[in-house]
Amino acid sequence: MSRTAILLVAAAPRGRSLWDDARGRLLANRAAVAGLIVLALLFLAAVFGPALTPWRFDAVNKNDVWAAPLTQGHLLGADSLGRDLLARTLMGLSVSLAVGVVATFVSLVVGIAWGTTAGYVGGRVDEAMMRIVDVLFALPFVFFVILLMVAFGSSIVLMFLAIGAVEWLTMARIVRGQTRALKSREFVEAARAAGLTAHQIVLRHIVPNLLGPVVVYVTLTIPGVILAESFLSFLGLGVRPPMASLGSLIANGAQDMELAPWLLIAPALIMAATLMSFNFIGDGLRDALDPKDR
Amino acid sequence: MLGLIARRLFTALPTLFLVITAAFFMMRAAPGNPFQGERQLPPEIEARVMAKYGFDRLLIVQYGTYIADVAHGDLGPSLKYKDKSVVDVLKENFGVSLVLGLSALIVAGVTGIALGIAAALRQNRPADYLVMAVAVAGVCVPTFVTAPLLVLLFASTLQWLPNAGWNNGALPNLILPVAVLALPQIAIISRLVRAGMIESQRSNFVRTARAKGLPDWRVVLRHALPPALIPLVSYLGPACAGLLTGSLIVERVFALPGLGKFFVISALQRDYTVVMGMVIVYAALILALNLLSDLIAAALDPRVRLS
Repeated sequence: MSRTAILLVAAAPRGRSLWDDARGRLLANRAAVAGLIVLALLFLAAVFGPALTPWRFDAVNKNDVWAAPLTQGHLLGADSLGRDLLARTLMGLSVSLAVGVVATFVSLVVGIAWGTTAGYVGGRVDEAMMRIVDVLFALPFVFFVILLMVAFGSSIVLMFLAIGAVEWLTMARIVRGQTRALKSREFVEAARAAGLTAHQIVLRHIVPNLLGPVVVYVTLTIPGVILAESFLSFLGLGVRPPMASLGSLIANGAQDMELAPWLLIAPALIMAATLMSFNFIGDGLRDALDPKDR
Repeated sequence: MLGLIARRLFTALPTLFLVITAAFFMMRAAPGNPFQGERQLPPEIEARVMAKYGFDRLLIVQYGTYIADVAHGDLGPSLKYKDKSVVDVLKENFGVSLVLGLSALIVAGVTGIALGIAAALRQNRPADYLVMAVAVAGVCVPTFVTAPLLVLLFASTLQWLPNAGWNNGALPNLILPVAVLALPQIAIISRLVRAGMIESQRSNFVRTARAKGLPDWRVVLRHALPPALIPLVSYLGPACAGLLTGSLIVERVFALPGLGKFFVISALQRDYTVVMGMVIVYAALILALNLLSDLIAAALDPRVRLS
């Protein structure tokens, strides 16, 4: 390589990638930034909070039954068994977030595998695979999950799988559409000409380019999953007591709201804040990654 | 148009069939049976009862019989409600859910469209921000939070409205459940209408209408609004699914004697036939509404018809 070429390479300005641009646009979006901050705080609270509270989430204190907020050492009050609401809410938050993240991950893996296969192979296979998705889509989701929970008993692991198994459908559709569009691009053709196998092309060239729309959808799936889990817990099909999730706390709070409204209000506010942050971040990411949509 | 209907029916029927199949085997995979109550039956008697309903046969034979019965419109007897057929159980409870769902759909449609238009006409001004804030709240605050909070406020504290019960569908009993069901749909509909209106306000045909000197209300309602409503039509299917989901919560919180309340109870009690009947009704309803919304969309937008 000649001297000038080396100089030119050294002097070349660092290129702005799609992700640099997107980060700038995201950070300019006030709602999304607020969402990010609130969410970061909630995650920290969920991870470290349960260890820091003076009470255990399942400790029954018969002297503290119905303790109002800020009395008897209970910051948010206590429930019908004298269990500390702050400890229970933090526990519920971490369960809800964990369900949201893990079930979304399940849906991500299944959805990407299904979508890229259908999109890349195309033809009859594509048609058959997407017809299956259409059929599952028409199945009323809630009833499907309720039947699953009833059939196999409610456990957290099963809930991860059940919710993830339903949520992958939209992911598969999005991924398939993107894959079909990417398949005819030059770099995929070049990879094929270079003799890469279909497997390698999908993993190295298609999947990394799917990331934009997938990330947006993931941030919108997590709140959906949290909602679904809470919905099941509210109906009594979710986590088993004394374990708590935001949904089961809201369900219990709703039963006792005349006596102790704080039992309903605290978990409901945390729930709303969580869902709202995810939605703001999701909307912000969509605008940031795909500016022509605006 | 007839071709489209035929094509859609051709996919809807296999879908319904698969839904029935999946629900049938999932229900049967559940441990326990409908006859295990608090009172433990002696094994011989339990076997006798199981045999009476044909549950002693091979599962695949039972499945075949069930499908044949359903094809003839016979959903079988309820296993928990003695002397009642599944059709009776569904009939008794369907009315409440229908009144609830339809009122919520109408309230959501009218309110959502009105709010959407108002926001679009005042884009980026306080009224717009207010509507969009309501829309965000409607999406982010789930039904099972709004329902108890509204009861706490309007029934327990202010005592303006009854806190639960059906009371033969009296208006005061309907207000809270319908409001709770409609709120998330209002949020989504107003967002859809706002986006559609903003786009159509910029289009040439609206400019032409204004240039002709038509009064404002006529431009908005006759020219700008119709194209903005097309996305709403395709939202009809998901909206119905959302209402069904919401009704599971609402009917429980407000103790309303509708279908949704029965579904979870029946599933837990292993009332196989009632659960299957409900799955069939719900799936058929969603499929029918999806078909309807496809047809309306095709009638409104020639581009859909051609593709």
